[in-house]
Amino acid sequence: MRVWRLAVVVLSGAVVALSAAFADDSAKAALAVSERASGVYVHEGAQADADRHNRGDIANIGFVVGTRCVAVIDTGGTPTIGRRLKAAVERETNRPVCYVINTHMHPDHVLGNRAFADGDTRFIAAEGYWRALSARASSYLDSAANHIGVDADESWIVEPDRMIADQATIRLGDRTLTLTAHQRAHTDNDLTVFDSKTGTLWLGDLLFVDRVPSIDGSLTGWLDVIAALEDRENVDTIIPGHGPLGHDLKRMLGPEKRYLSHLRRDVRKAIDDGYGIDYAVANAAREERDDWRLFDQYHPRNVTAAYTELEWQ
Amino acid sequence: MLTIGIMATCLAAALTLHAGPSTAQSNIRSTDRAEVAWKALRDEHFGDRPIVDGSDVIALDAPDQAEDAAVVPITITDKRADTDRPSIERLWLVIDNNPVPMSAEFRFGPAAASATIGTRVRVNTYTYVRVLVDTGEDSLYMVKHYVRAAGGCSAPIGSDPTEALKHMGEMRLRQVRRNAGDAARSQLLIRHPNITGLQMDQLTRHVWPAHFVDAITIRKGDALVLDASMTFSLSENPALEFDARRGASGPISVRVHDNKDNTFDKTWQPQTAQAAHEEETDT
Ligand SMILES: [Zn+2]
Repeated sequence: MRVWRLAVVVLSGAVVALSAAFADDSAKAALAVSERASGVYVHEGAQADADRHNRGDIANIGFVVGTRCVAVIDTGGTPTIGRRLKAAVERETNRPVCYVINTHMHPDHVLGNRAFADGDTRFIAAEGYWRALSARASSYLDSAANHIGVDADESWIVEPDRMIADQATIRLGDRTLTLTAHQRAHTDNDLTVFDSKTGTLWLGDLLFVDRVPSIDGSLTGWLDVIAALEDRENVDTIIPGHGPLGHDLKRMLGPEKRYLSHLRRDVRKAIDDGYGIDYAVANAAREERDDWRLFDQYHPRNVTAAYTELEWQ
Repeated sequence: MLTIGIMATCLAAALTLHAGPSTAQSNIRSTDRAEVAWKALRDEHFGDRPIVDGSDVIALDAPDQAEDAAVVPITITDKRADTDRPSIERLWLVIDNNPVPMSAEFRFGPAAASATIGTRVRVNTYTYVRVLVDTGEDSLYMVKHYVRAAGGCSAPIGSDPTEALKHMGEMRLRQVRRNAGDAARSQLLIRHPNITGLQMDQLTRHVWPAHFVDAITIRKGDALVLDASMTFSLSENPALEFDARRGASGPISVRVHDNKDNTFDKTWQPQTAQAAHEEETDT
């Protein structure tokens, strides 16, 4: 075992040296990952907005290692982060990456895809992903350039090989991952990944922990998805899109469910009482403010999104 | 303080920023100080007609910093209502730095209680929003408000456009107010994708063809409340608050027209509209 490990280190060292020729210095360092369940590796991103300091490393990303090959789940906010994640994969195993799974189209989860796009790796996402990403790609790239301070171009955007409308399984050898597409919630292309071998559930941005959820899909749809998820059994490890991991699904979903429920209650009441959007923005779910990071940055927009959704219900 | 920079990360805010917020702000601020765009517009639309400060005639409420550039709520309040001064006959809404700045024009009829209106607009870049009114006097009156928001016209279409078409033309009429104690006004909601024609799919280079509401006529009984024409500056699912005369009798009828020559009609019988008013006065 020890000898084998050594060989992997030498091999991955060579790969890293090779890729360093194309990348800046930070690309050399493998991303810090920890094994949170057997063969399940996770890197926790910063609980902040993408900026020059965190360089777009703000989402939880990682990979699952099977006896045949590896599935990467989300790739971070730049190709550099993707390359560092790839270096972390190569440090842990010599098996190839056969799949990149994107939990939804947001830039902090997908702009590292290009690092994996030069081999036999297949890219998988939920139905709706490509339409949503294509429509927003230029603004995501502009935003990366402005806020992270990198040169971003369209080569960062990778078209998926397969989009899943409902549910699908993929085999990595000894383990099988179940991919489930959900109704419109955080976005219109949310995908969750379940590893039955370890009972690990990757929720992507269907779960925000500590950081305020952002609504880019449907408030009521999201609450429906939470209701369907929260009583799920045989889940041992839960990986949110943002924030610390945990083991108690219902408890982890609790604060998010409460925030979204308060938002729905207050915005509905504002609409029923005949108040406009600006009143709702100033008053809805204000009691949640102290419980969330980035509340002032995202909450007003969530109210606007909730209002324009609920006024037609 | 919310900055545009913070908003764009996970949220898919679709803010098309071509420079950092501070640069964009200072660039636009310096051109706006000269109001170059407005000077050209002024000549084009209003010729030599004198334009004077209108803050005694109208109030324009708009956010300084918009939460969502594709949904910027604005309210225009008629200060001449219930006075002896000449009433507002026409009103123009101009968004200086939008692709088509002349955003909407309203004509008010005998069934309008006032020229007070509210709507939600798209703001493409930092800009003055201005309102001009014609009271039949020699001069036009104008007020303006600077709004910091960006990307509203190119923000991705909120829902699947084919899905949105299924509900196109559905309408609702309800009572709204801005704050407790304000008089309630009627609000018309129209389901329409209101596609600007500037929403490009960057990878396929496909531009969704423009498809937006370009005219709204509202009557109470046979009498005109208002007749409005507009560009794609109104947000998806356009909303329009208006102030119909309570005494005027008959149903509220609305006709909506779009640039693909679709027409949508809906009529609300007086008891529906009246019930909503009464419910409002009870609370
Ligand atoms: Zn997200």
